Amino acid sequence: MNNYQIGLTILSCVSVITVTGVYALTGLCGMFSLGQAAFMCIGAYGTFMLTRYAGIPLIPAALLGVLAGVIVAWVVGRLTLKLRRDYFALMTVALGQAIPSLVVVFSEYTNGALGFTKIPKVNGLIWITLGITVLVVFCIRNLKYSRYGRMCLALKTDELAAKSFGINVYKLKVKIYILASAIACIAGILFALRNRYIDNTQFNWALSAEMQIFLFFGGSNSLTGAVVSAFVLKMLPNILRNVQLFGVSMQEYRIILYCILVLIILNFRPAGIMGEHELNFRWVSRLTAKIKNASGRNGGKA
Amino acid sequence: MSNVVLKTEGISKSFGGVKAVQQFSMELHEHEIKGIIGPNGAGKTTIFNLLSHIILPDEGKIFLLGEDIENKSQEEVAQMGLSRTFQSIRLFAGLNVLDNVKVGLDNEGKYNLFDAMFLTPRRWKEEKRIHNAAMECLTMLNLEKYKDYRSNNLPYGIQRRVEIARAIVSRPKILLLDEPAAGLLPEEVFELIDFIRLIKEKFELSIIVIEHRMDLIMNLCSEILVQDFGKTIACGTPKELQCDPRVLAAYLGEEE
Ligand SMILES: Nc1ncnc2c1ncn2[C@@H]1O[C@H](COP(=O)(O)OP(=O)(O)OP(=O)(O)O)[C@@H](O)[C@H]1O
Ligand SMILES: [Mg+2]
Repeated sequence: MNNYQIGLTILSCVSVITVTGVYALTGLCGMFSLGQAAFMCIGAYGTFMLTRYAGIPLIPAALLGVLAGVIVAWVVGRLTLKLRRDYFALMTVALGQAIPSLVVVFSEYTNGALGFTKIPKVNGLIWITLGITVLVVFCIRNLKYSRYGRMCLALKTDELAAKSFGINVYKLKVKIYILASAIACIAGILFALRNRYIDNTQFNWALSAEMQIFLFFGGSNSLTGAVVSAFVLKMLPNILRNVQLFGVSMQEYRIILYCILVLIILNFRPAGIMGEHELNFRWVSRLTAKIKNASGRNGGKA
Repeated sequence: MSNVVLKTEGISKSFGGVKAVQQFSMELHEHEIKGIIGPNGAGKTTIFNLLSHIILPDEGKIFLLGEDIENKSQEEVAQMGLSRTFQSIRLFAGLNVLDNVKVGLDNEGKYNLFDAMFLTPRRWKEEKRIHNAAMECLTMLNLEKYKDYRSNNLPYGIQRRVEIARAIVSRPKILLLDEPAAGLLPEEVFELIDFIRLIKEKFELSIIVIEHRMDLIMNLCSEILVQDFGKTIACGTPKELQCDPRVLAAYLGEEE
């Protein structure tokens, strides 16, 4: 793989990590957050300000960066998750705007809109990223098939009924919000390590919206659907970058492309490509059996 | 008589000008089935909402297993052993029947978020226990063949029974049933009567049931409260109430 391909793979993995976190929040609990990019921002700036100004080595700094995100999520979650879901969604939009603008307010340290570049180089970032991606998806998959997953799906459909089984809906929502935000922080750190440059505009609401789009495209009830769609849809515009339309690269049409995809999906498959199905080994073995069968028949004919 | 498990002292609730429940007092004894009847809008469901603390009373006290629940949340009341079903079926549509029943146990599950994500031995052990308890409950209630179905694909009568299974799987002390026979066919009502008797014995429950179907109420209950416009207008055994003119006027007359 050349450098460009490695970079693109890392970027797609970052997208998978964030969407996996959003899956826990939106897919499992039915909470809309349009500000998860803010946590990527906190993770990235938190970590690399610490390596730069406090001279802390990368790994402890990254842990502190995630901790910062956890604290913000805890405070915001405690204040907003008792509200109705739509108010919570509105508050996350505000948060998504506020955090990147803080970067500008503290330009003295963050270098504001000019961007922050003092980010250490990490060798083998692709392997680290792949490892973290697999781990995060594994964890959220396990979460889905645990008592937490069931309680989340219960409160997603009917909070009142969930409460009547002793489930503390509010506490559970805060926990999941913190979890999803910590995951976004990790993604933000990897994102910064890949670009070795961050600025406030990279973490704006469009990035948060993109995560929701990827989730809904794959199917908000299907973790594997969300993972595949996050990877493929992130990659697609970059692969098409050499394709020109009206003299402009397809990459520039990214948002338009996503909008069209969302419109198609909402009209023809409102539950997303995968609906509620999960890709698993049973599914894979069935598929390979089918292929074997088909090739066997062909062999017979020949 | 045996122990009082649930007791209310003059609870009232108004919504704006509507006095939905006025000065409601009763005692529920261990292993008793009590019935509440009354015309539409009499405040029956509101009584259940007050007992399960979904809404709080304007005045009066509720004692659950001898303890005043004034400062308890809805979740805490549920954890203390009061379970209920809803007038309109409220199964969790995103989960299959087995998982619906498991939700009844999940809050008590003894493993944390970390165990869940990293599949620790504790998680496997607890999940197995929850699975076995849910399956045992489904088997006992003859529902095990439906375990993999989505709840909204099942007939009404089965959904009602799954809802009851989910409510009792955690072995509560008290069960509140809000119109369990609504929407059932006459023969299904007789099955339901046997079903409620069965769970009462097997799970050692004390039950309050709201119902419009007189056959069910008359068959099951040892005592019946008649509500009208938020007030208790009569109270007694099925025999005593059968010919009570007030009941006939307020309730039976209106039904026909
Ligand atoms: N949350 C609420 N807000 C406002 N009014 C309410 C509320 N809940 C109930 N009411 C009113 O209180 C009164 C009693 O309602 P309730 O649902 O308890 O009646 P019910 O006896 O269960 O009737 P039904 O047989 O139709 O189920 C009705 O007039 C209803 O409109
Ligand atoms: Mg009612």
